[in-house]
Formats: sequence, C-alpha cells, structure tokens
Amino acid sequence: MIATLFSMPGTTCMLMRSAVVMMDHAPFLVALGWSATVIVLMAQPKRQRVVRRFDEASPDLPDRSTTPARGGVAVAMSGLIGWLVGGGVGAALAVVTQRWVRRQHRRRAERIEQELSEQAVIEWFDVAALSAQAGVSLALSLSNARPMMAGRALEWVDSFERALERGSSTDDALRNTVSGSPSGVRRVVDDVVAAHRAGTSLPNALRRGSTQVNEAIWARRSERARRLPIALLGPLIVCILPAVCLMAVVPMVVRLVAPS
Amino acid sequence: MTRGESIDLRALVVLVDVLAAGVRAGTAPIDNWSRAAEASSNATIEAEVVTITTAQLRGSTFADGLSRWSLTSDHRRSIATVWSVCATTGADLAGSLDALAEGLRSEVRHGDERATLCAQAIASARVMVALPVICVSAMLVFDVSTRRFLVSGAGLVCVVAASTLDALAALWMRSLIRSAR
Repeated sequence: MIATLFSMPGTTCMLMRSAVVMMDHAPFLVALGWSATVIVLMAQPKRQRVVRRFDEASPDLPDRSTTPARGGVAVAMSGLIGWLVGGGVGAALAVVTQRWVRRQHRRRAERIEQELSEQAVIEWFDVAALSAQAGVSLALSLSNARPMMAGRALEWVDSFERALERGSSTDDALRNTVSGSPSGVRRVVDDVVAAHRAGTSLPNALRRGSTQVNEAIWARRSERARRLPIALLGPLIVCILPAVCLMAVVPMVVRLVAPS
Repeated sequence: MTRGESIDLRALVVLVDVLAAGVRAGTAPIDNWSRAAEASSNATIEAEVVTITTAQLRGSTFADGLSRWSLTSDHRRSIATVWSVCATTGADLAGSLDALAEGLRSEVRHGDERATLCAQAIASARVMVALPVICVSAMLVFDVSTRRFLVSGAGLVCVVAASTLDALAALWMRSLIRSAR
C-alpha cells in the first residue's frame, strides 16, 4: 500500500504540503512534550538524591522523606530548569525542521515550475519553427502553434495573442509572455527576439532556442544521475545500517550480556 | 528513462526515419505510415499505426486517427504535430522529420548516458537492500544462539523493525533512482 501511495503522481507534493501544515504547530507540541519528559526524568532522581543527602548529613533528624519541604523546592527548581532547557532545545529543533521542510517544499515547487516552463518553450518554439520555415512571420508562427499546444504552452499562446491585440510589438509581447519564467527560458526568448530584430533566420533561431533548453534539461538530469551515489547514502545511514545492527549486533550484545 | 521507454523511443526513431525517407520518395501518407510501422519492428507501434491507417474504414479520417494517437505520449505528439503543421503550412516535411529524428536520437543517447551513470549506484542499492536479509539468513543458518534469540519475543521485535527499515530504504532508494533516471 505504501508503495502504491508513493508511486501516485503528486503524492510526494501532497505529503510535503501536509508536513508543512503540521509543522506550523510543531514547535509548541515538541516543546511541550520535550519539557514534560525532561521534567519527569530530572525531577525524580534529583528529589531522591536531595533526600538521601539530608539523611546522610543528619541521621539524628527525623526522616526527611516524610518532610519534603526543601526537597520540594529542589524538585521545583530542577523542573523549572528542565522546562527552560528542554523547551528551548525542543523549540529550536522544531523551528529548524520546519524551515528545512518549507525550503524543500519551495525548491520542489520551483523545480516543477522550471520544468513546466522549459517544456512549454520547447513545444512552442518547435512548432513555431515549422511555420517559420514555410515563410510565415514570427507573430503568426507563434500564434499558429495554438491548436497543437496544451497546458502552460497554451496559456502562453493566449497571453501572447492578447498582448498583440492590445497593440504590443511581437518582441514585447513575447518578452511579456515569459516574464515570470525562470531565467534560462527568458534568456532563450531574448535570443529569439534578438535574432528577429537582426533579421537572421527565424526557424534556426527558434530551433536553437529549443535545443538550448533541451540541453539544459539534459545537463541537469546528468547532474542528478552523477549525484545518485551520494544521495543513496541517506537511506544507507538512516535505514540499512540500523537494520543490519538490529540483525547482527543486537543478538551478539544480548549473548554477551546474558551468556546463560 | 525506464527500459520500456527507451525501447519505445528507439522504435519511434526508426518510424520517423522511414517516414522521412517515404516523404522524399513521394509515397502517399497512408502507405508511408504502413511501411514505416513494418520497418519499426515493434509490435506495439505497428498496432498503433494500423489503427491510424485504417481509421477511414471505421468512418474516421487519417488526421483524426493521428490526433488520437498523439494523445498517448509526448513523443508521439511531437511526430503528429510535425506531420500536421507541415501539411497545413507547406513546410519541408522531410527536413522537419529528419530534425525530429535527430532530436529523438539525442534523447536516446542522453538516456543511455544517464543509465550508465546510474548503473553502479543501482547495483550498490540492490546489494544494500539485500544486505540485512543476507545477514539474518547467514546467522540463522550458522549460529544457533542467534537463531534462539531471533525466535524469542525481543528477537521478533528486532526482525520486524529491521524488515520495516529495509522496506523503507528500498522505497526511498527506488524514488531516488527514478528521479535520477
């Protein structure tokens, strides 16, 4: 079931989003839990130690455990210190975790945005290059691509046509259309606009643009593939090594501790 | 890119190459597609192309069949788009198909390169996931006291925890490998 859950499209994104929502309340919950644990762990031995010290120092006095006034103060003090230290550490830990999860979520969103934009510009320019090859102008080539476009690319064609209707020039309309996109895509569009202004071959400029974006995608994928051995250290350290320890080391330790 | 996707892409490259050659030779579109499907030597693509070329028998048109076929994958969409745009605008179809085939070939090449880069890490990941299982099997076979411990209550807790961690590691590694491929 877990495998199915992980293989579902968008599940990771959904899980990340849920984690971010949960993390909003995490500092308080973690600090509370941490404080309670520290108080319980610290207060009890401390109280016993204080009572024992009083008993050893003054054996003539009545049993201190029956009159725990001073022991109670020590317990309260240790509890307070425990609450402050534990709560602080817990809250800091929770805040760091929260920031890390948010950063991961933001990076993932940026990566998806970048991939969508790159895919859209490749599709759009490839189709426009075909029209431009037949001698059609840049504006018309970009508009003619509409029936073949979907998703982000279709949104861009719409936005481009609206800008032309408002009276923008082809170059400005194209630049405005991709203004919110990642820098790589904007750079490619700038190259096409420069080629259009200079009067060089449009099909070549459009194809060169989509090839540039394609190469950037391939370079990024190769980089990810090269980083795979390092990425696999995560599951190795977090899951495999503890599993091997549980299977190999724990039985040996148990045998040494309890030889019978 | 998975192995299945790679095989599919290679077959599409052959299909596009043969289509370009057919266009240059002046073959009629439907005959051209039928010949290209035969040349691709991929049963799936052959069946898909037969559906396109026989669309007229079912009361549909070649263009409709092509547009339905284009919905099945991004690469198929690229081929169908090149075909329809060139048919509409009168652009050089053979040249465009050649350019498309070159693009697909580059994609195959990059996919192969990535597979080579990932191969060692994938092999290591398999060994690492198998390691706890091999470890416990060996200890069960060769060490009597360990066997006794592992069938006790605490031992079973260890086995369950280790198996869970191992399964988690397998899922995590699979997701890392998929994103790297």
